[in-house]
Amino acid sequence: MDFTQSPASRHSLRRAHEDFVDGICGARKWAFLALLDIKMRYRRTFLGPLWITISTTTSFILMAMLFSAVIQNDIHRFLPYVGGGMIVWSFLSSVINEAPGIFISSQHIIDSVKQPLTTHVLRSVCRHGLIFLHNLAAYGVVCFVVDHAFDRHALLLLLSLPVLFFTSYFLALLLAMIGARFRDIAQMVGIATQILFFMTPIFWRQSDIPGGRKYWIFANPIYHLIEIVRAPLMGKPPSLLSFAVCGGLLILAGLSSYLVFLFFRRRIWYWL
Amino acid sequence: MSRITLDHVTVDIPVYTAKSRSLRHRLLSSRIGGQIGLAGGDRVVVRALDNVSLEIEAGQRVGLIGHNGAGKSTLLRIMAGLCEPTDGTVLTQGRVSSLLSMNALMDPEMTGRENMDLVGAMIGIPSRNWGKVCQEVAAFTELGEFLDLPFRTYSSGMRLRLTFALLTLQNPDILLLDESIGVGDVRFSQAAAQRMADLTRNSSIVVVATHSKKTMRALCSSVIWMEHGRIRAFGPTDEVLDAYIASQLDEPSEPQGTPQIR
Repeated sequence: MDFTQSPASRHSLRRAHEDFVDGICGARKWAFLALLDIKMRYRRTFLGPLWITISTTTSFILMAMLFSAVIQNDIHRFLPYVGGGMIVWSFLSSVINEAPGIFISSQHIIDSVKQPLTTHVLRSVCRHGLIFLHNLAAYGVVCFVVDHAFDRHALLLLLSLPVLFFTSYFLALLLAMIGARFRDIAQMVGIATQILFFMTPIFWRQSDIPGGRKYWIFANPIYHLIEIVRAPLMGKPPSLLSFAVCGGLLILAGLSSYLVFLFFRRRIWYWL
Repeated sequence: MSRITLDHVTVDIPVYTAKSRSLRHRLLSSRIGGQIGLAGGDRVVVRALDNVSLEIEAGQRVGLIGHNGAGKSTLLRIMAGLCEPTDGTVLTQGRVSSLLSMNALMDPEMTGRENMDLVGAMIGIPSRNWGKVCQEVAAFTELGEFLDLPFRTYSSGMRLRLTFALLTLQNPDILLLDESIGVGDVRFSQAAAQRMADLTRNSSIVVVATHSKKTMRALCSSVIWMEHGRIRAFGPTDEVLDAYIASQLDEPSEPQGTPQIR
């Protein structure tokens, strides 16, 4: 409750560290806020949050039908692949797209109630995480309908989902800080996600690219993030490379967002 | 024991803009506000607080007065710990309750009760007390069935009742209030004054920024008079208020906040 604030580094670094830890520990707060966001968005609609499920399932069923026709593939095999890729992609892209504007759009809260700044980022990531889990359940139902069975590899999700969530949280925190200071970042991120969508094997398979040019895929961290979730759903283990890249990304994003937050937390209020 | 100590606190707010030069010229010609200067290069900096030192002890009810842009809101934000000073040290002891832009947190689409849950989650009231707090809030606001209607249907006075009740009923050690306190009706003002008196009797600190001298005389034991981001005077309510009014009568044509360029 008591606090001392000054530009002296021992004070400001300690406050930033406390903010970082308190934010994550205040799970009840950000989970409540995230749930509330979802509830509010679908308030006064007839179907409520069921709309999330409807929009995702419709789009991946239609996309799977279309693309299995385009590349002449069997829809029963192709649909679980496209669906798995799409739900992870839509989670990642919405987190990344929203991130640069988080502090800016939470300005009214930051300016009136004292609480960990990380809460706002956690709230956003948690909201998209909840939508993702919602979609995952719908995906399960669709897979059941097309007779796609999950096997023991699906248990790998217990490892890969936390990796996915934490990595995207750290990335979002980093982007939120940079985006608050440099307003052009939001635009750049928007363009980048659009391009990444086409560069990532979601509607096509990595086997569609000839061996010598696979670097297009392997150099793309988004591919690995999708793969560690999608492969277990398809009944095979993700490649070690994918796990290694995701682990590395998690550590890198965690460290860099922590350090940037440590040194620049005190400036965030001034950037808004 | 609650206490607020500010030691040589300065707040420089940089104005980031794609065209800082042209904005700079515009700001220089404006007649109200704090001091505007240049921090290296093209960046425009507004000095919102300039070397402010003060100490507020437990049990004090302090009013903040001064022109628009004199630094009242920034001072409140510094006390609340919302922003960190550019220079100097802030020491705050005690649990701070602040809702500086009163309606900021409330969602207009949600009912009064849902908003109570929202604010409760934000300020982090332990859930075992929450039911009791809610009942107290409902009683204090006298909103009755309105609590089940969306917040957007509330009048500004009703909004104030709800936010004020939420802020004070969790017994904060330090209560910080911005200008909006003025919109309540007479009945509310009396209840609010009573509530603040109770708080300070329990050795809390209340700091209120308001332009209403009447509110200030009714609520505050002492007043801080801000000018150009500095403290012009800090003393007993009547003394400071009289001096403030006198200074306004003396120089009616000269705006108090004429910016100083560094």
